[in-house]
Amino acid sequence: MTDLTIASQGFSYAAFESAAVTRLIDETAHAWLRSFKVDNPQAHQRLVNELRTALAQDAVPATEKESMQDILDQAAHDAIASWLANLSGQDDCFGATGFAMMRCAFLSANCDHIWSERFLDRDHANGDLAAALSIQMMCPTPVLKSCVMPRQSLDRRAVS
Amino acid sequence: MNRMSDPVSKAVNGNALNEDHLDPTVKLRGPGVGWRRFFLFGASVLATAYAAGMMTDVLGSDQLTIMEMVVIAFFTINFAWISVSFFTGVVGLVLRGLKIDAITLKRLKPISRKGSLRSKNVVVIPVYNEDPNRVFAGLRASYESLAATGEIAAFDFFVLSDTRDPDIWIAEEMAWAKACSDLKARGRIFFRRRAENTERKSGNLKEFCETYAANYDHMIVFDADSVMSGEAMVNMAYLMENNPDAGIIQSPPQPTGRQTLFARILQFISRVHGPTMSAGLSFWCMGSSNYWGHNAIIRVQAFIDCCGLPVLSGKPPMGGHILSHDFVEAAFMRKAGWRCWLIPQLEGSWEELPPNLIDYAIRDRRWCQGNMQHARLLFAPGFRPLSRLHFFMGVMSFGSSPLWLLLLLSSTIATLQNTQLTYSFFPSQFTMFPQWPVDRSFEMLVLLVFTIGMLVVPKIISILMVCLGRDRKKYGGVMVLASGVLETLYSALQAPIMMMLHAQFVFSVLTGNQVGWDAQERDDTGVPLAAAFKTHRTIIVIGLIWGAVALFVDAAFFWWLSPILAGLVLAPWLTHWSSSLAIGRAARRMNLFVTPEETEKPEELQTLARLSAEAPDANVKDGLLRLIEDPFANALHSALLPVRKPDRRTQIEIGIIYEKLARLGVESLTRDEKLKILSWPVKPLDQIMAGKKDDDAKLSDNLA
Repeated sequence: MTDLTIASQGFSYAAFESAAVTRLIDETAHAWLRSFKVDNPQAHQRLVNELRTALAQDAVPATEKESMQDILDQAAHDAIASWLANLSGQDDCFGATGFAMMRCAFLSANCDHIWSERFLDRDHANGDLAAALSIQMMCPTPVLKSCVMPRQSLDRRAVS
Repeated sequence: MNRMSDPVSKAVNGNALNEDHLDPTVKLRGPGVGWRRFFLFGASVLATAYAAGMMTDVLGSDQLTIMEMVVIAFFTINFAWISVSFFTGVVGLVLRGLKIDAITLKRLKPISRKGSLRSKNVVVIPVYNEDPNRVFAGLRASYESLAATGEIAAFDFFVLSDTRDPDIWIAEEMAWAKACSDLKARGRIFFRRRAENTERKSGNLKEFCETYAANYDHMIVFDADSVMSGEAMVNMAYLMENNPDAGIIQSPPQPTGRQTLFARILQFISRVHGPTMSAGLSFWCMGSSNYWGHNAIIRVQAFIDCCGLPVLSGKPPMGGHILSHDFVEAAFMRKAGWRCWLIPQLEGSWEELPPNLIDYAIRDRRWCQGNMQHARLLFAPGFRPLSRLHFFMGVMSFGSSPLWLLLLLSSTIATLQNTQLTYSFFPSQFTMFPQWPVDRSFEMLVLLVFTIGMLVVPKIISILMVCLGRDRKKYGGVMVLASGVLETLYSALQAPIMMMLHAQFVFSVLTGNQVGWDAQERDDTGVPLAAAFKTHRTIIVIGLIWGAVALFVDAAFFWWLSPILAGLVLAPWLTHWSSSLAIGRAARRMNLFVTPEETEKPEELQTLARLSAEAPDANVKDGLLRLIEDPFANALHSALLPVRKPDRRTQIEIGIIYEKLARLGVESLTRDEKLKILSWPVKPLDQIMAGKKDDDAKLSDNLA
């Protein structure tokens, strides 16, 4: 019986977490924080907690997933994306582009690490951080205005 | 086509409702368009007829051989070609000398705008494997200059990347983010990279037109090395607003920024003589001018409606996608009724030249292929006569070289034949007196002077005008004369080399060889002597053999050919020494080949130089490694990738490459493998190598 199947059957997850899983959670949190250049212990603990909660709530047996790492990665992504969505009021933080865009904004805003301790802090009023993110949001392209550029023919006059 | 229902009439009539909003002082109209062309082509035909007659007289003094007739035919074609250029130069000199506007024929005056711009404009910069530091330095210089005009709100900038080098790709993204951040221009400077780069530059622009261009009224097209002043860009947009039938307005870009001797010579003569030719061209082309592919403003909707390029039947190089798109786009604009203008007095428009003769020739090889393709459009239905003439001139800019070569070769053969002839003083029929050989050496000399005069007189007068003008200090003072003499000597020696190279290119294209697509060399790189020898070895051999034959045939003929032979035999040394940065800088210290952009450097070029110095080439490093090490680069790259899902096969390939990356490291991946994994969105790349960096160790310590 794996930790996850125990968890899915309603036992307390933390009581059954093996050292290997603890390490995996820790490493996953570490990697995700590194991708946001956050080096704050509280933020790390918050992400670890989010990952544990996600594992505890995961009703699907681990054998049906590709790997534990994928579950943790998805959980970390979802936790951060939902926090960013709450923070910014934007719904598209879960998609690859939207998430990357928010990550860019956070990295720019946090270049001197002033926001690291607020990372994943859902209890704090983050209006100032939201404002900082909106200033740093990149805009790679303007509004898409699709049209067709017809190929001209050498046999007749130009299309009017 | 019904004139009232064509797109131009609609646009003009639409604007006519607001006719009182149009500024009449910048209206692009001028008198006597037909007369101008009649004068130019009439004078060219007369001069050609006179020269051909004189040549016939010289060669046919005794009797015309078949080879002499061939010589006369080639001479006539080539002379017609140079006489159009000569009279364009003459007109340009008159206009410059009298300070007359080439279009309106009124006193030349600067464009004065009444009010702010009403249009929305975009500056587009298509790039392909270019140095991102240079591209973004140019963008920033132009952006800052535009901001200083107070009209920045009317402009956006858009970098259209077709780059296929993974390292340059990532460097472009980072440079874009830095430019947005430094200039506080988020939402004003945009960037997109095309996933598939079909149809090269024209395909890049087409893709832009089909996605974002409709947000704008006009687009100013830059090359990767273009810089323009804010004033020039605003003036172009203003001219567009006030000339609703204008489809394209081209500025004459001035070459600048290179320091090698070769580039300095070309920059100097372009600055001195270029405005003469631009004024002359504008005078007779009027609203049927050409588009040179960059440093021009284009009416976006007109471009979308009528400039989608056709695909030519058959295989490349003469068939397939059109390479030199600019001439063809201008022709399609004219076909639909839009006007294309060249405005000679639009200053503040710059570009860069290849730094040496070999890179210059590489660029010409590409252009040659594109221009030769235009031969297929010469007789396509619907194009305006002047568009066909532009196509013809484009073909002839390379096609004239083999014609000159054939002229010289046929002259050699004719001379050889003449030396074999024995002169008969008493022909078979009865005559009172012996037939003496007729000496035509004087006429020959006159013809030579006449031909050389057609080639160099407008240029020499341009140099004299600068020397006698108030601005001569900007060109190095009295040294402008020495610069002119040296440039004339250099171009005389270079001309036979280019003749041989162009002839080779034309032959190569006509025999079905096609050229690849490489970024132009934009650094001051020199050419080692050995490399120059390797490139020119065929030319040297031809020069030596030709010289020996000429000497064998007739010593006088050898001396006649000697300027050409000298150019051929000296080609490697000329290429090597002219590519020297040290000699170029020494020339600058001696006030030789100086341009106003050096003596009174415009703000934009100062900014460009400063930014280029701040951002060395070293910024282009391993792109994939950068994404692994730098979370910001990683996030930015992910944010800029188009939303698409790989197919199953690609997923497997990517999986294998990731496995290789994780096991063997970044160095183990090939360029194509890097490109593949960078092209598809995946989970944050930096996690793959988590724990392998120094700052990672520090982070672990903090957490512990």
